[in-house]
Amino acid sequence: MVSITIDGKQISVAKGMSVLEAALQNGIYIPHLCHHPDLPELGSCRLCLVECEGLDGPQLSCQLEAVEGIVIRTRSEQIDNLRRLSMELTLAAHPKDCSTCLKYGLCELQTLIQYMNVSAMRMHSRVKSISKREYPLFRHEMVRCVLCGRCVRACNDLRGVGVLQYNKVDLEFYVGTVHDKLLKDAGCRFCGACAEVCPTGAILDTISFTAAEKGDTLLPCVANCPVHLDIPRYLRYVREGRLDDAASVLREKIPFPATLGRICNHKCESSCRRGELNEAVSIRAVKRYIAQSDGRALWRAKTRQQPPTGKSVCVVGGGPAGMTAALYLAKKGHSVTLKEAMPKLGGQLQYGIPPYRLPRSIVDMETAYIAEAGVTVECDQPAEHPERLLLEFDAVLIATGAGHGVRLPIPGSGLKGALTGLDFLKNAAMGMEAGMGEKIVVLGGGNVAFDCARTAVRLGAAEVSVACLEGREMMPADVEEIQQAIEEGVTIYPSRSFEAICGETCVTGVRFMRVSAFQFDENGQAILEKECGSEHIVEADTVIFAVGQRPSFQPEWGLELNNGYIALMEPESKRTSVRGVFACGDVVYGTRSVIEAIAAGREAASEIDRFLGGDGDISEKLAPEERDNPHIGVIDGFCDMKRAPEQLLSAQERRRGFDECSSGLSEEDARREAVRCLACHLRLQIRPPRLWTDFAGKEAHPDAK
Amino acid sequence: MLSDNKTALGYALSLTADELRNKVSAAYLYGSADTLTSVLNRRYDTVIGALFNADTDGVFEQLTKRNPHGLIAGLIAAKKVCGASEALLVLPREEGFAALRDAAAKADIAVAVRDFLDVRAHKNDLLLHWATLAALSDLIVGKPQKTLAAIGGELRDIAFGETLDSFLPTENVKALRIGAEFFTPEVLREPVRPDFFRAGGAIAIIGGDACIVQTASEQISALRRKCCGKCTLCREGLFQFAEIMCAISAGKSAPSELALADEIGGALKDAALCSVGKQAALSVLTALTNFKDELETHIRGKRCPAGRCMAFTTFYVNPVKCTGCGGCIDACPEDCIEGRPGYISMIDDLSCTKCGKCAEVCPEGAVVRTQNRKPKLPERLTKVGRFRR
Repeated sequence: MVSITIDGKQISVAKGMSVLEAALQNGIYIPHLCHHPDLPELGSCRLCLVECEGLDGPQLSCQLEAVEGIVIRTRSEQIDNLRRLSMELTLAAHPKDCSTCLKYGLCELQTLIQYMNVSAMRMHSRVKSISKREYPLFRHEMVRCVLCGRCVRACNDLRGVGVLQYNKVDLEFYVGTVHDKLLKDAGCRFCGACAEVCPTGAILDTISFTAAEKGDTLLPCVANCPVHLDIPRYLRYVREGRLDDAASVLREKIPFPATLGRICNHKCESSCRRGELNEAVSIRAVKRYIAQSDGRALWRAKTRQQPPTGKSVCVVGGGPAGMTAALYLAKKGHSVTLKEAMPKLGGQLQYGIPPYRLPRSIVDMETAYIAEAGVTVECDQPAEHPERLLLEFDAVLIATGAGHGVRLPIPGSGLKGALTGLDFLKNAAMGMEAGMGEKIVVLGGGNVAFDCARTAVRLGAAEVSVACLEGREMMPADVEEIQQAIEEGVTIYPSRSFEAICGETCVTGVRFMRVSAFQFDENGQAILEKECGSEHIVEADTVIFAVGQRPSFQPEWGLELNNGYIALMEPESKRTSVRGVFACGDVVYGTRSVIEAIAAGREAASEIDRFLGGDGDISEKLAPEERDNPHIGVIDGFCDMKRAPEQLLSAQERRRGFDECSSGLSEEDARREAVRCLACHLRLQIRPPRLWTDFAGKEAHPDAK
Repeated sequence: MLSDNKTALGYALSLTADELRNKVSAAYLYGSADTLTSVLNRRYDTVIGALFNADTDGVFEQLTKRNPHGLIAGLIAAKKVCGASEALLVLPREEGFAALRDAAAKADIAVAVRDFLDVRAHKNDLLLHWATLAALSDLIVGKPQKTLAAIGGELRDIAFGETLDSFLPTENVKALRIGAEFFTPEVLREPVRPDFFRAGGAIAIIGGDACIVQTASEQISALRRKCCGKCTLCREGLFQFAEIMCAISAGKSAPSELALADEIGGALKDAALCSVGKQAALSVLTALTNFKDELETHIRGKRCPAGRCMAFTTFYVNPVKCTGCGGCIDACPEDCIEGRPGYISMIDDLSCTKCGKCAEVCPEGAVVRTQNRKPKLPERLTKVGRFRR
């Protein structure tokens, strides 16, 4: 440490620091524009001038090392004049239309103008003739560039990418690429460091956000994941070939990575910023690759088992939500009993999602960990009255899911041959007679509908079709589900209303009408516009309803309800109307996704732990915490790298049985997918600018002249 | 300086650092009153031999043909004397330096091509002008140190203390440009000092018919072409210089602009990292100091003493001399002269671009070019001989 004096104030700073940083870190503001705490100094803006005892003339404080005993003055008439001159010269080449600039209010140059109270009145002003350029994710409005060079240094020195440079045309300078190539052709990695450090509206994100929204906007994969998995971190470990570390990142938040790697509805991918460039990173498939390469030793060694608390919890329902809650409660030291009505754990993983999407070996392997972690698992246990359970346990969690398939109240819905999707899938999964004929019509457009249709194909149905209200492009099922079903011979009837199921005693067909438009009203009722005279019948001997599910619980449990679901007393807590009884997952909010069930299970575990006197902290640090290297360098053809497809069986092979359709990604493809990641998280490591308004008691310069 | 100094190369290679230091440490750095000793107080990674970034005329490239071994000798000596680990020779272009490349290759000196030397990237290096290297080679072999100037496209060595009038004409000299600076003819009688060429060594004589505003403007443009754009003060300062000179020449300037040019020049002179900004500042500041009257005549008097700035010039047809031949009408590219055979031609001031073609073709010398007020002229087409004052 060295001791220096700035404006009469003695401060102690680390050796080797510049006077500018020393001042800024000690609450003394010195105006600056080209300086940025994460970039090498350029010393071009000449705003950070100071006087230093023993040195002739004004000095650039960004270039001046804070050596022991140095005495600095940040203001004098000469310094004020020189700073003012530099600002005037800068502003003379900058547009005056601040109010139409997208950076208005967030612009560092604007704050400097206010601080110094300066304009370019004395100067010959000009507006550069550089046209705007729109790129994926970024917008270049170089007419607003003040050539502070921050973006050039961020791209070259911080990132090692070297795409941005100073260009010169007709004696005018601007920041651009070599030969004015498009960013993607110049080798840009779209990391966003340039936009992050740009003090003006010259390089901007195409998406706008407030300071509070910044993290979620720039890292949408993490923000949109219900458990906020640290996706950039595990993709990085895959890039570096550190698969055990990657698996440990997954295990910090999710107990079933191999399952999610196959069937997660991957909100992360839908919002992936790489998608703006060409295609989203195949995050789910990489997760599957990590899970299957997981050595399991690292995270097991680090996982936290707290000493027994003497408290007991009963979790009712062994689906993803219940299993997750049971697991984290057991890790917190509670004695946990998990009661499951079916013969095996897993809920919809075991009895709903067909094995060609999620092999049962994977489910068994991942659910086995629940018992290994110390949960007492009791299968084949019908759900009991929660208050009876409370006599035995300190807390009860209802996570019984939404296991009752809904039948639409249309004529013929009770005929022989009319099934619910959940019963059909459960029977098929258990190897029992599913009650299916030859010609199958599935009603519904979600993933469950396609699970039913594709299961029917595999069970040997002659004709299988799926009919739904939504138009072809609006169907809620995953695109790859629909695509694979069509390949397997499933016919789609989109935009159909279900008028009636035909038949006397047995189903003989379904009467449809075409729908020209539909929407749901605030009660969730569909409002349809049907085409006149569009009635038609599709022949069938079996109709499967896949139009929604109802929660599974007994009315006599006496829990307060909300629209047919168990009501929570406060949205965030998982408490029901009965003290000590909690509920989470589908039974609370209806059918959603496995990852949301896991998120709900985690929240429930935390809440119940708090209820039992714990701190509610179920977070774990299983993977190494390392700062990622900001120097990402150049990758040939980075922007053109296509999304690696999962390796799929052919449609013929798939139809033959319940073998898993996809074998995931190869090692090379998984690595390649991880490389395609834009590493948006690196941008969030860049420190924010220091503005004069951040400095206590700092007031704008009184107008010197 | 200007003959190939192979002997010096032999010494530079064979003598020890101490022996070389005794011989060369008093050498003046080109364009500066400082000597090599003044820069030997610190360590350098690399000694670099290069031209000024602001070198706009390229005459110094002749050194590489006339004294290639001397340059290499100077570089090696400087490297040894300051204990640097590397030496590098920087050329402004790929082609045209065969002799120097040969000499460098023989002495195992690295060569790089840079059209602009980014001074920021060489904070730990010692930059020496080629002329300094040549001077070192003279000192190594015991010759007295001289300096170099480029006159009329030829390099010439000049002894310190010599005056320029001993080899430059003194008649019809309005000003001298030395490097980028502007001097009054008195400079011809000043003895050459070590920092005489602080803004470069090209000497140009500016005759009585040249306008200092335009000459300075051209100098600024040449330096703007060299500017790398990184430093705000240089990039934007040079733009303001160019605009101010342009405004003065166009008669659209106010006296306050001279103060502004002076303020920018004063700041840039001290702040410039490399020779481009420094020389531009000196160029404007010396024009402002040494030719204040001529600049103020433009601004306040709305006149260009040399008659070069067309904004102050008008053309008219002397109604007494004109014979109505129509030659000027045919010659005018803007079609802005009105007339008929036997009538006095009339020039439309608003459309006239002041190209002067009418004056060139008039057989009577009736087209007059002036910076003063025009006399009374016909207001409508008037027959030759009918105009009355």
